[in-house]
Amino acid sequence: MSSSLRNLSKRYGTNLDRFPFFLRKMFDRLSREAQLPALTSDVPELPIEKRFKRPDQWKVEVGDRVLITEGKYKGHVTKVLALHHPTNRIFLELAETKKLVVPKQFWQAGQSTHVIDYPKTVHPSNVKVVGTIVDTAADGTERERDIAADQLVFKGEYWDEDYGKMMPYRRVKFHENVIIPWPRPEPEEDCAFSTAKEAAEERTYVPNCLVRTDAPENIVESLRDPIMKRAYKWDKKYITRSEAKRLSSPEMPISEAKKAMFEEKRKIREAIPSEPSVETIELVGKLVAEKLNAVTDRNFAAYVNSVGPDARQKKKEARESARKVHEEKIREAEERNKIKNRTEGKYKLRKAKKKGSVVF
Amino acid sequence: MFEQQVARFSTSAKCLARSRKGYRISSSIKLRPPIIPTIDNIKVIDDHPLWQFFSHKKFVRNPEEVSFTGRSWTVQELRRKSFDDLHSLWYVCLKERNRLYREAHVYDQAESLRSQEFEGLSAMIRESMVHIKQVITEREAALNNAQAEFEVVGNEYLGEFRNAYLEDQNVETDQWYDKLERLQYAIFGIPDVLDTSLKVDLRFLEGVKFVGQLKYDKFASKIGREDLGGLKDIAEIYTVFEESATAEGVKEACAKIDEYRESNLVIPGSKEIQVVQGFINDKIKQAESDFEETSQQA
Repeated sequence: MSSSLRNLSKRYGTNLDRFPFFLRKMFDRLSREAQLPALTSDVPELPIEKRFKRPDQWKVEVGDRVLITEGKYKGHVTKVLALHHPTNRIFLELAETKKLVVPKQFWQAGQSTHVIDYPKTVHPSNVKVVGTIVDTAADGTERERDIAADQLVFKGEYWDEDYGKMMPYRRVKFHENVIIPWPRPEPEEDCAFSTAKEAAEERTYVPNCLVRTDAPENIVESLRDPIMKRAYKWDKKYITRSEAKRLSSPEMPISEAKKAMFEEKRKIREAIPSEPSVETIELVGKLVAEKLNAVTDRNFAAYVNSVGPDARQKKKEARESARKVHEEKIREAEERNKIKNRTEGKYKLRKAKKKGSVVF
Repeated sequence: MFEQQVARFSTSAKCLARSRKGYRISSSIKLRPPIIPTIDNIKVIDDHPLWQFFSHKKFVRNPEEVSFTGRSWTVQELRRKSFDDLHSLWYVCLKERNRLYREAHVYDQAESLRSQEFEGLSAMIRESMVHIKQVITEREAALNNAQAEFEVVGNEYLGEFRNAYLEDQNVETDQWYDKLERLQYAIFGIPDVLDTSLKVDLRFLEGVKFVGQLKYDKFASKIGREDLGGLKDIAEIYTVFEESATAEGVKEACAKIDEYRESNLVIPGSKEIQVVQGFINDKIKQAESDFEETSQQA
């Protein structure tokens, strides 16, 4: 049986999200192939996390007047009929249609043939919202004018009684004082399963005791698995690093005495010489020179000369001159190539003209 | 001899067949038209418990009847509801889901896709139930947190309250009576109206001691009963606690304490809970008998 209570659960139910991407794709394809063409949509359904949830993602609502900017009806102003949540697209009053063959069990009231024209959906980016502004002409008369917003920005929000939620203000980009109000939704009637607003809003619990709540004792234990080993998130025994940061008080500022101590230590550190003094260098240089001048081995003398104080400078200069020569060589080669390409191109053009073919 | 040993089965039929009258069936049995099996012959009582699996005693609802425009209860809405409300809402949800589950099963067996509409509503109701669990767990967690915090800051708070009470010139006002009442329920769980389900514990005892001592300290000098030399044991404290928070009430309590001291009884700490529980039970019994008397007179 497909409708199992277990199948509804996230943990034990058949959860397609658990499969790797290529398998999910394959299952999707199989299910599409198995469906009747009349029941499939031409645009694939999006995963739930990619579907639009907020009005500022949709940018339009049911009942909005919009200007179509793409397709067959480009330039027409029409109305939004419905939002198609699985594909993030909208149904318009004036829209392109596709022919569908509908099985008899899905016929609507008044339908007489199998083939019907079914409206295609449109992406909200292919429409512009139309608003009305009041314009004063040069002679002082006021008249209403329609504007289509190229781009929209959503800044600030207000409580909308009809939608029953906070709605952002829809403003025209670069003209943020122009607000295009949201259309009024159709009033929704209560169904048989609805609770009256008064009953839903009535307050019957006020926490007023530290000893007990109005629930029976051990109510939480009765909700939980008694032999579960993992700790519940409600009674965790540790706090995260960010929580610890929030809970711990800031560090005490450093006292004056400690500051003085740091200053003293810094001065001592600075007083220690980092380089040897001139006398030390002269003394050491004299001793080393005496030792090296007394060298008799020819090979060792050559080595000593190669690591002398000016040897590094010489090496550097030699490297620099070699680099210059190399760069000059490259430049010359580039010049040569330029000339070569030019002449070759000329030759080819002449050849092509002779043959009479078109050269792009 | 061999024939006699054979067991005879269905002797009655044979007997009837060989009976002198020649009937195979007894003449006392009359032939009637056969009873055709039909659902009308089955009577189910109106309050049969299994009717709870049916909506308005209907076999299955149409999918149109379970179409819905609402949403599930949010956690924010449920936080305002008492446990009784949550408990009854839980069972309303559970029963509706049982009904929907049964009906979806019927549609599934008929290989109809319409069962999905029942499952959609069921999933929506399930969300409400998950939220109920969340609210109950949250409440218990909040209670535990508050108790842990009171361990730290509780004495300081009670000290502040005590000072404010003792320093105020006039505490015989409705505002102070309400404050005392709220404090003793909020911190010690002592309700204003006692009932039989009440169990005295250490917390309760602590509350009795705090409030009794507070009243005595406030009014002892005012009514000139410092000669008592403080309250000696739980019986004396409870006597003050029981009386109203006025000079008059404490005066009456002191008179009772005088009587009590004549018996030279001292209650040890280990018996305090028992004694207070006894006092409360006596009081409830007294109130019940008084109520009966007044109702008989009326």
